[in-house]
Amino acid sequence: MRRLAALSVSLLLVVGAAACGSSSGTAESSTATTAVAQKGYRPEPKRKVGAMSLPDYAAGQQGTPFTFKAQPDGLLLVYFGYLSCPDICPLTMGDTAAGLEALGDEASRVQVAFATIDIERDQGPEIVEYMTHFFSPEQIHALRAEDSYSLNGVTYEFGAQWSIEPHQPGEFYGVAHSGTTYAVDDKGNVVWAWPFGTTGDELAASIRTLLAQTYPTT
Amino acid sequence: MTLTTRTRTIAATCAAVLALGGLAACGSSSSSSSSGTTKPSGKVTVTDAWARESATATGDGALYFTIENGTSTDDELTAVSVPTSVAAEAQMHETVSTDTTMSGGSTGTTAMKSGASAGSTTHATIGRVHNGADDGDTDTTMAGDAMMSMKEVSSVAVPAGQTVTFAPGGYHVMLMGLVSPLKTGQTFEVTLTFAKAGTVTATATVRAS
Repeated sequence: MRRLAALSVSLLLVVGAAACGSSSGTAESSTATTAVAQKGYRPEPKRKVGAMSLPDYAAGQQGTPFTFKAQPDGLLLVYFGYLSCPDICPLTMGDTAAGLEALGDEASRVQVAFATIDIERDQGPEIVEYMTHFFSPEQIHALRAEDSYSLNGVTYEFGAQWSIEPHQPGEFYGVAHSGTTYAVDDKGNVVWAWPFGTTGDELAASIRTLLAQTYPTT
Repeated sequence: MTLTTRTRTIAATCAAVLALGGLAACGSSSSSSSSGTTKPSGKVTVTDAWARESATATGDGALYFTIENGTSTDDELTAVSVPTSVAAEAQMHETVSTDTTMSGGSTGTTAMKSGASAGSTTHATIGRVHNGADDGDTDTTMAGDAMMSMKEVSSVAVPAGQTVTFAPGGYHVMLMGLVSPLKTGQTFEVTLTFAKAGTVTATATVRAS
């Protein structure tokens, strides 16, 4: 009940800010335990993703199964994108990298997973190359499902949407996807979802709050 | 009654133009028809052209810039090109947010949990938003996971006295088939073609963001 009320308040604040045409300054950094208006929302009902895994090419050249759970007392950020996405994917990864930088030492508790939704064009090693452009190697997971069936099983549980334009082999095709970044805790619960357009500073403030709320004893 | 609105629009336009470099286009903007004898007080300029540094060895790029129409004539950007030594093709795109269907409607909108691949030549798959069915609650957060997609546009209006910005998350030029990865500091020429102003060139610089 209390959580619902807090969620409503933060949603209202975010909507209010969006209506003013401003995307900055909604998340003010303050003491981590007080209620802070954060950009994004906490998915309700709970989304549990910790039972699923996808091949991680950052962990092994053949793709080592990676389970959607953060390191103990940490957060795993998950983004579903594609490598030939010229605009919003690199923008989001750049903002995310800036957010981790702004976190300072606490960034060691955060890892970032990029899962491609374009398994036809994107190969595992390329996703590793892409991610190391933005992050240091120990921060990343480069995920590529073996088929669209297993990919869809994962995106469904996260609440992410994607679609591939029908096309002939070799033909250029468009891709649509949720621009959302998800935060997963060490038990595999999705504890937050940030919309496309969240800045690095907003992300850093949000992550501080989430770490404090999710792991109050650390 | 429309007078107020129009006056306000003109005032706002003036303010915007003044703020953006003190161009003297406002005085003549009440007349939208430009005759040959009325000399436009400004011109169409392109500034801050930049492309994002490539993250991988292969792939596509994105190019951004700011267009200022300092003339008293509405114009239209109809094409953007870059040298073939940079990219095979440049297309104007707009990033748009769509709730459940892809722009253009070319994808089936039937959502299904099991990803379905059609025949071996045509692929159509669509993910599905979480509907909270596991405990019967209505999930009110669907809008947060709206899909983003890119829509090719054939032209972009650049009204008289206004500024149009190509920026991340909105309009961008997609550089398809990059000849080599874009590296920070690299520069290349960009040619913009306008319906009335003709071609305007600018130098784009590659940077991280």
